[in-house]
Amino acid sequence: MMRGSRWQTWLPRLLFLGVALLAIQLALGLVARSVVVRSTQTATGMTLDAQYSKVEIRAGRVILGNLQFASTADVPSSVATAEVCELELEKQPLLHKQFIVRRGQLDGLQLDLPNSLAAQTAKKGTVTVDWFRDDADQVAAAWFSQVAQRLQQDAAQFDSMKQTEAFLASWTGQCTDIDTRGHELDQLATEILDSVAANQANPLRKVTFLAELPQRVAELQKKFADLRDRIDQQGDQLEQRRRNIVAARRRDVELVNKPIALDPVSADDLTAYLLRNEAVNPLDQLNAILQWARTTWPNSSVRPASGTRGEDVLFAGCEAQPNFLIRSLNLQGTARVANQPVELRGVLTNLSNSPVNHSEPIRLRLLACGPLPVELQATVDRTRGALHDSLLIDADGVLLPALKLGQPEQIALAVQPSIASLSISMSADGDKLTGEIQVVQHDVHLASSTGNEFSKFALSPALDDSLGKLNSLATRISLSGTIQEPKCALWSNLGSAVVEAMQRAAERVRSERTRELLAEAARQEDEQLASAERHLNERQAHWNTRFASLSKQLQTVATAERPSDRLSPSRVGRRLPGNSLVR
Amino acid sequence: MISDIVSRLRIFSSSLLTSAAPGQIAAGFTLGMLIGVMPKSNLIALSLCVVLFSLRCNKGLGLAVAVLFSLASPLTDPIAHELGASILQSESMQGVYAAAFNMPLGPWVGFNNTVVTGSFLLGLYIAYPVYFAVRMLLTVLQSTLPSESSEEIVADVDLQTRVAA
Repeated sequence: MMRGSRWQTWLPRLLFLGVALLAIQLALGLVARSVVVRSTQTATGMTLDAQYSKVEIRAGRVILGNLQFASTADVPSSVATAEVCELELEKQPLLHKQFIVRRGQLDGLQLDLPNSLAAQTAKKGTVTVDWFRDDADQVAAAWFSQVAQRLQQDAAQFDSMKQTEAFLASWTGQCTDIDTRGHELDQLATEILDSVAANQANPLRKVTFLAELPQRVAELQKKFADLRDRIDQQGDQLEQRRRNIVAARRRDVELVNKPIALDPVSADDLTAYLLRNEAVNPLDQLNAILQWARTTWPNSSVRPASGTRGEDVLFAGCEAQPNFLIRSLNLQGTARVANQPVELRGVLTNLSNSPVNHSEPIRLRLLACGPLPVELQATVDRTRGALHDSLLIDADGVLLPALKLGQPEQIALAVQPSIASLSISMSADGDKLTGEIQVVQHDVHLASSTGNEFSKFALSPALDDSLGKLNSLATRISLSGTIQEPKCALWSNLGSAVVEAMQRAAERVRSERTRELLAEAARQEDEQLASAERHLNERQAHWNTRFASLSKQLQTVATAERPSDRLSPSRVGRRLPGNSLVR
Repeated sequence: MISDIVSRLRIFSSSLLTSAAPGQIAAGFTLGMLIGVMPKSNLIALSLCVVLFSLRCNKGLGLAVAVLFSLASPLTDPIAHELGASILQSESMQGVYAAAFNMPLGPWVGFNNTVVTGSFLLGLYIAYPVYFAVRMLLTVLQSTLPSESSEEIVADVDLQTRVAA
């Protein structure tokens, strides 16, 4: 009876104790999860969701599972997930409401860097920065227009062509004059011949006419000779002009063989024109990271948490300490960097919800193993009111995607996917910003495309030939200024390479086009001169024949139509015998 | 419709006021008010809850009043903050406060928060007048309604519950 009553006494108590312990375990798990979630949000500015939690009281360990970190941007997006997080707590500080994680391990981390960076840049309130304030686009556009203008050529611009056209213009006039004069002389000769025929019927007038005929014929013959001389002189003139034109053609060749004179353009302007759009995105992301760090970890000790009522007073003699501190958290997982999955290992130290009250800066060191070795070191120093952030990233073998540089309506370059080494060094001390981003791309293949301005010229192949010699592409962005007004200077060998390539391509295109134009001009000139010569010969033959015919006719007429002798006493007397009485 | 709501309110108020002793009801009300005006994430509020559940008082009414005063607490926070700040920033007491704060569980008490201290002291200050006033009111009410004893109320509640079911 006693045994039964004892059993009935202790068993319910034991069951109650078991249920109470389980309830405590469950409650502690919930409390620990709540504390970690809230502290993570305060310490990192990210929301944390853990699907399960467990507290091992004796070991002082909190285990959280299936964690999901999300940004607190306007559009919340998952930044990272993790399978398990084990946190070893220091027990003594718990009595002082401090959650100090001595050592932690975050396994199965999956970091979505592009998503997190995009979320940061999309955050409302992020200051948008006009990184490139210069007028590089206008400068580049003006230079391209100038190049296009210099490539505009026409056969009419050559001196030989001008001389040919001027000569032919005067030549046509001279030919017309000669023809007119020839026709006049022909008419004169015809008139004389007609007059001779007409005078046959009027002996009285014939006498006078025939008396003047030799003189008129002689005059006409002289005019014929003058015109023939003119025609002969025209031939000489044609030959002289031909020699002049050939000399001008030589000068034209010399002139076009001279290097094309383009106005100098700053390679930096062209670099900015080509790379500024591609550079803006990473710069915005870095700026967003910096602003996120400044917002998440301000250097002021007064930091009212959201939803807190009243103020926590720090009594004289009490030292402000962070309520949540992770001394060391090992990270292990994977991430996607530059579209490549990489294995990540790293350690996060001294992460606290109040870095300004902690003696050590927050440090994150991440190493990516495998084909894409990346090393990332970030430091957030808020100790003793300091305001210093630094970020170092070194990566080799980053696969950069295909890029489109420049404006398609002018000159654009397509960069094929390439392997690059990346180095980022950025530091913000107070408001002062310094940093440098270096990207070296190896085995670069560039393909150019030209807009309407260059559509008439085969500039693109020539440009590709010149740019094909560029094997590696180095780009450097120097950061300066302040966080509120950062400045950046962009340098790349791409700008100078494009300037040089444009110069060469323009030379080549112009040379080819000039050669074609010169050949065309020479052909036209030769044709025109040959035509002129042929015309001259025809004229010469025509008028020589005509004049010879007329001369002969006139000579015949002049010989045949001599005036008859008049009977005079002296002539009669001379004809009579000397002894004649009449004589 | 209206009668249904009134009857439910009657059932609810009856269930809260089943304890006949006006003193117990007033104590529950006062403790609930004290818990309600204070921030909850500290050992003072937790201790008050323990006191509420440990003492022989009207716990249901205490919890209901705590909820009501929690909703109204933002109205008293500015006064509580001023009061707490003036007390906690007292130069002469800094050593005492610091010593108390640095003791184990000291930060859990939460007295370094201006609203916690201010609302707690404010609650304590008005606790007895409130207790007295509520007890007087209940005494008057019970004397004006002598026919409806608590047993009748309970019976009525049971009846209403059955009808509702």
